[in-house]
Amino acid sequence: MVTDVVMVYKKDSSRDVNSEIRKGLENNFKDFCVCSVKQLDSIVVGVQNDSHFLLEGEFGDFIGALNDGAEIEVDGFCQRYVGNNMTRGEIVVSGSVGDGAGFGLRGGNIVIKGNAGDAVGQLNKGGVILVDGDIRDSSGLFMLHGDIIITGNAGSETGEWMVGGTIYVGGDFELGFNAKTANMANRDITKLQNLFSKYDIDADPSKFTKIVHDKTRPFYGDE
Amino acid sequence: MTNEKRIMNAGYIWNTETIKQVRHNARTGEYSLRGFGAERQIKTFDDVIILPGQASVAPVDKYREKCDTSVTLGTRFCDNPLELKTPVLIAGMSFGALSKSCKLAMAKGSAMSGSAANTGEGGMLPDERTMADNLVVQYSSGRFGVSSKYLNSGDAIEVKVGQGAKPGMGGHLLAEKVSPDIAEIREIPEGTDALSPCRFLDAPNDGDLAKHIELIREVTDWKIPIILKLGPGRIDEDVKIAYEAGADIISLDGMEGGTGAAPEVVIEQTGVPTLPALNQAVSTLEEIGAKDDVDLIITGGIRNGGDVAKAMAMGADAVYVGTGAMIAMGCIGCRLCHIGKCPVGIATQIPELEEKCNIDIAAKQVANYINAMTEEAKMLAQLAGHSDIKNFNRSDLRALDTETVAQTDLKLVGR
Repeated sequence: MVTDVVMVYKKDSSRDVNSEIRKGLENNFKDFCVCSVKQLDSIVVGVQNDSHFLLEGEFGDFIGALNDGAEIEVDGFCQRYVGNNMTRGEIVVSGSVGDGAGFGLRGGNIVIKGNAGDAVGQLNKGGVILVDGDIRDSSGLFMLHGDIIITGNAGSETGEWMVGGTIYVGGDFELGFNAKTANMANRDITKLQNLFSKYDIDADPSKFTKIVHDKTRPFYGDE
Repeated sequence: MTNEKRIMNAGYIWNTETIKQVRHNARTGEYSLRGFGAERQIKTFDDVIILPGQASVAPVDKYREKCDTSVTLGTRFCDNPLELKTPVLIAGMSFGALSKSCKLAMAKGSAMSGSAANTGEGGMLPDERTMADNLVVQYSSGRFGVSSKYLNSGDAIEVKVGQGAKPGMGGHLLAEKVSPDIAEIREIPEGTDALSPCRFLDAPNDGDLAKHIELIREVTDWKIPIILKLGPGRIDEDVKIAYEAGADIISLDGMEGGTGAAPEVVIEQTGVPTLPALNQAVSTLEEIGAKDDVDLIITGGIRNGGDVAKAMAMGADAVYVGTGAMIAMGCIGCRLCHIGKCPVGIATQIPELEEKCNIDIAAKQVANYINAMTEEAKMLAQLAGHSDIKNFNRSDLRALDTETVAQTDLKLVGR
């Protein structure tokens, strides 16, 4: 029987894993399963089409970084910088992740079903990062655009030096410099509702706090 | 005459420039900005001379005999190193700091001279890719325009940690200057301040630069060379880290390296001049046995074939020219790049001004400049007895004074 899924397993290096994937992509395979690869970094990076990846186990840094269209489902945990600099596509992690989830995101959705560390969505330029859990400090630093949604608590310096974009927090948080709270508009609630139902998250958007940038602009100071 | 203009009895400490600075600070309450790099008196390649071959070393005939000027850069790990006809490459300068016409002229001129162009950190113009035969794409702290497609369309990737004009500082393109064009190329929302943080915020720990390089390798399938660009700081330690991080090429920008906008105090008071910076980088690489593995591109104040020849003799494998290439295409050196109203259409986004930079003419001038520089360096190599420019070495050089000896470890003239 011919299977449509490319299995990548028991590899010692990121290069081995990614070259197996590259071979599969060149042969027009669309479904991949990656497992038993230790905690390797930089796996399934820079994929430029809408293929589907299932990753099982514990993974290292930069999983799904520079993704450009793929749907990546991680059944397990990732360390730092999951989805770093992603342009397009979707990454869903069932467990928790380390620092820097969605750093420098340009587009697409990153969903973390567990908790995330520091620096969530720093330098976000237009993507969506949704954490169904708690996160730590300095989320949204230098964020230009896009959304960060945290259903649990966020730490200190939330939205520090934001320039644009929006952060929504369901629990407690400490505001960073140049961030302020704003009223949830109907379109905010609809946006969150749609995301929550899409990713099967049980949360009430009306109880969220919206955070936007305050009046200081870099270089100019206060407007 | 107003007090503003009158400067009486200017001395050494309180000289004309210093008094102007104080007056600017007093009037505005702000530090002053400008373009270009450090222009204080420092030791440069002019303080070094090349020894010609005579009886002990036979010169090579410029008219009849060949001298190879081609270079291959980045052979350490990647499959496809840069193959260039000249060791003179165009330095990273962004679309945003420079006009589109200027960027395209650089790309076209680089192709006409067998050199390489560099996107700078502001993303890549589609025509820039088409026009350049060899294009280096930058990956900097702000990651503007960086995507899988972008990295894979480069012939080399330059991970920019810092630059000579403002090492340790990030960059900032004002929202007002983020036009629809720039927003598209940088992949940021229109009218948003474009911030480049002063360090890689996603590389906080030791070893993280190596992880970025590994990430880029995996995205590009180990095909193209990775350059790590450093500003001039603790060069010995930084170069070691760049080597250990797995770069194929290290590019080092001395304090004369130019910029579109930086505070005067930063330009003039920070960094290490190019000449001693190069010496320190080369001796560090030799000390750790890495000189043959990794290639070194030196940049910052490289003006002519003499500078190229001396840099290569000191251990550089290639050079970048930035300011020189701008001057070649018509820059008048007003140092007002930061204002954005460049009178010759180079450092501006104003369409009427940009029109003054004709892509074809500017490209031809850049190509001529690089060709002439290459020819100058080649001539110097031949008279020093080399039939390959890469054979230049330290024994071909002498320092003109003891201070230069101390900064370069070269022998003194007449000794």
